[in-house]
Amino acid sequence: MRKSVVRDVLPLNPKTFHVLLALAAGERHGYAIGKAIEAETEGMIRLTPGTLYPLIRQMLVDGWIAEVDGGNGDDPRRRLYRLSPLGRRIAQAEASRMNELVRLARSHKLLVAVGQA
Amino acid sequence: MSSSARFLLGFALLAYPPDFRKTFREQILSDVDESRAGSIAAAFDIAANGLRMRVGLLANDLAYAARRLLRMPLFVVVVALTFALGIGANVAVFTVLNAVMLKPLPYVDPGRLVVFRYLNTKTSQLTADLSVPELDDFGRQSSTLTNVGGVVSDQATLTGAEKPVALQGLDVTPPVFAALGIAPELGRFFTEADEAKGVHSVVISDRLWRSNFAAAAGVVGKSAVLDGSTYQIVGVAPPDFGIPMPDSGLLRSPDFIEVQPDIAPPGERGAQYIGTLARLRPGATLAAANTDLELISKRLQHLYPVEAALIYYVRPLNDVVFGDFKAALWTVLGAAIGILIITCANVSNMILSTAASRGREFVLRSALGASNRRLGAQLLAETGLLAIVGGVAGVGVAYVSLALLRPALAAFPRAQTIALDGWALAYAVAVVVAATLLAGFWPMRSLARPNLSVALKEAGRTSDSAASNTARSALVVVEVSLALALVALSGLLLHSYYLMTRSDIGVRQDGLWVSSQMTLPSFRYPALRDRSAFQQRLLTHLRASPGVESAALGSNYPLSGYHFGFDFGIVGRRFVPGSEPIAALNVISPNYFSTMGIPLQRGRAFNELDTQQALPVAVVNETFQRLYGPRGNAIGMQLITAGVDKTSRATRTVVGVVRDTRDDLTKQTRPTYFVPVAQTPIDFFSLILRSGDLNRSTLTAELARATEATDPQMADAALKSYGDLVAAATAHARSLGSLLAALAGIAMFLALSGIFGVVSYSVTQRYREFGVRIAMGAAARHIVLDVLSRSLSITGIGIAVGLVIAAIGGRAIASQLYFLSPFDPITFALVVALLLASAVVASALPAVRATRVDPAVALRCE
Repeated sequence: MRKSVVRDVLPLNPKTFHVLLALAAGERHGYAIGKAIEAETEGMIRLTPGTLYPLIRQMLVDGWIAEVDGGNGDDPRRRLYRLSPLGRRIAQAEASRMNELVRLARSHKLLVAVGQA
Repeated sequence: MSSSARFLLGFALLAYPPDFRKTFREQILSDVDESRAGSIAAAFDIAANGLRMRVGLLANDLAYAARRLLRMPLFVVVVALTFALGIGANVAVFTVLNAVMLKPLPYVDPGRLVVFRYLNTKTSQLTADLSVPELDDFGRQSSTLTNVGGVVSDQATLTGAEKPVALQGLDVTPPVFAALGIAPELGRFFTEADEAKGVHSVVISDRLWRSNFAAAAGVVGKSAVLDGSTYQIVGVAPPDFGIPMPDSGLLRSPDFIEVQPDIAPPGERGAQYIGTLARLRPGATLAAANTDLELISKRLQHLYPVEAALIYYVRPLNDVVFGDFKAALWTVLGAAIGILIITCANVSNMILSTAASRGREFVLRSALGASNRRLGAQLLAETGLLAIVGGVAGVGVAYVSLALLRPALAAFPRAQTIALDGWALAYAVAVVVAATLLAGFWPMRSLARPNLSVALKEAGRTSDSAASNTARSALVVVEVSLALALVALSGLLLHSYYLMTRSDIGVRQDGLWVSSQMTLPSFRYPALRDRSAFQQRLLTHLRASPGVESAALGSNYPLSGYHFGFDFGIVGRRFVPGSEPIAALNVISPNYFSTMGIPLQRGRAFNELDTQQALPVAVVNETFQRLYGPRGNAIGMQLITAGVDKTSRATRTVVGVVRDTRDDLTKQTRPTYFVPVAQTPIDFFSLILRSGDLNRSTLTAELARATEATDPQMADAALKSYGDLVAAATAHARSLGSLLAALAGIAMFLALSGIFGVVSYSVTQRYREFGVRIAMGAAARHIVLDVLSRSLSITGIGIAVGLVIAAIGGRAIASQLYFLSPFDPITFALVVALLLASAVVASALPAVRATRVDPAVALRCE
């Protein structure tokens, strides 16, 4: 049952996946999530506050992430978020799905395996 | 962050749904602070994403609503049809209102057009017509009015083609065109040069241009022969052209327009026959114009002293054109809005009836975290979808009902322009939105605030809370009260219409026909005796026709729609010149009274001996006798009268008194004196024919044959029966009555279906109770009475409230009621009885069903 719920939501929207990735490293507040994504993608993906928070809200409603009680870091206006177990499983599932894709691409000689060059 | 940036961002945040905004507002603001992004760019980002989120939610709600509704097609059909009736009625009424009243008159700045009126303080007569000198005075002296122009009805015979054609026309003074700001299709309208002696200019209608001049582009400059005189065609009026008659406000589309000939002797200030209109000068107000006229009136009074004071003033043309209809048509719009309320109450009730199942669904979703606001939005989305479906069907309903009502609406001004258009569609959209909110409001309040414990307790049963029952009953009370008010108002109008059609005109209507006015062209009948000879010959031919029992002629007849008012003197009494009494004049052939069936009250009627050479005589009507007859007897009075052309004055002895006839169904009978045509030859007249056997076409053919035999150059006249005249005179009342009756019918239907729904539902709810009572041996009679009493108590309250609404509405339509009080007890009693009887019928089926409850089944349901 759970497994199929997880599979049903794949593939993820890239922005959603990046939010999950950013939170995989640990608890972060919204602004830090945005900054982390920007850094990790070398500026390829930028989440403005207008797009980031609707994503966060949807992931909260769906139970993929959770708000950390009492945690707001230095700015009292901020909220800290963390991955829920469900969110972690979904991120893992998406990552392994991508891994499969990469393997497939390699077998079709579209991609040279790391270390085989 | 600066305060202006904060304000801007706060404003942009409004684009998000409120619950999102509440949670994330501070985080978003803090991020914007941190990133030091430009506040305008940030605001755009926030607003755009907020709107996207809202649209997404709305799409979700609509998709959800559509999926839900597809599962209950019967509910959808019933609700959509209910909406279609209510919305359709509104769109149809708005379309009528818009075409007739809301669209401006087709003139430049019509709000600044005014028409003249004056009040004679001595006779208390209110009149619209001025004399030529007065027209000149106001045109020259007024500093607030410009383009003061006159309009007079005219008719003429067009010759030149094979068969002469009788035409309706208008005589105008040139400023009329400038006042209205209208332009010709071809050529030009009149200028002052056209008023010069010996100049005969005519403007023809688009209709006449096409029918008799082959729509030739070169028609301007050609000539046309009207009544034997040659006129030069100077212009062609555009197709949708109309000139307002200053007295009645009717928009006339004449076949031809001539320059008003100055027929009265110059300086004849008593010859008032010109309807006058003008335009307010830029910057001048109506009040300023009337102050101005008061000054001019005083000056004229000083120059031309008469016994009575004449008070001249102007009224807005819009008031005169729409005056009669305004209150009535707003009442109709009120009725349509009443129907919308009934419709929405009905739909609310239907949604509430599904509450038992909806309640549990909502409790469940509420428990799963949906906010009341979200649940409310979803309910509204469902209602909105239903209203949209109903609205589309409603536009169809409006289209069909306008097509069906078209003949009945013909009496409204500009009735031919009534058609569904962009405005009507925009109105339909507005009504759909209003209906959604109105119908969704009550269910939203009671359903979207689910009470968890109550709902779970009741989860197993189809029982319902007492509060919700009260809500539904209250909605039905609203429906019944509005329906009663509508039925009562339309009942009043129809009752008044019925009384109008049945009112005694004072003539024997069966087999009585009158012809359209015939005019003897003066170039062919210059001498008085030629006219008399023509009339004699024509009457002789007609009397010889098989099937014609009697034939007469008159310059006027009851219900003609016009009258000729003339002043007169009475020998032995002194009147200051200019303030003589005025009475209507009718020039008739000797057997006019017997043909019409107007009984003689005193003295004698005219006979063949009342000739030019004999003693001048007159017959008067009862009203004349009452007003002027010494000691209530007019016989022997000596009247000093003028002929129709205002030249031949004569002293006439009154030899007879006839019973009053109605000049007009809605006005008091005028004092009238009749004179024999042999003593006052006239060049225009209508024929009056009595024939028991001949139908319209046969009689028209007989008339054409007699006319041909008398003078082949004469144009044929058309015939009208008194039924036609009554129909024309009551057309306004019929239009309004049928419009309101159609609405009342819809209202009744909706209210009855509301009663049916609520009673049915309550029977379903009390299924078990009835089962138990029947098991205990209750008589069917008691069960039926129980159900009916509930239905009648709701109806009773509705009727009581409705009577109050009807009383208020009755005042609004009082000006449209003739021979009837707006509180007419008979109408109201009938309407109340109708509603009670219908309520019984509507609840009969559920009541009978209640008696058929099988106790075993009812108890097993538990």
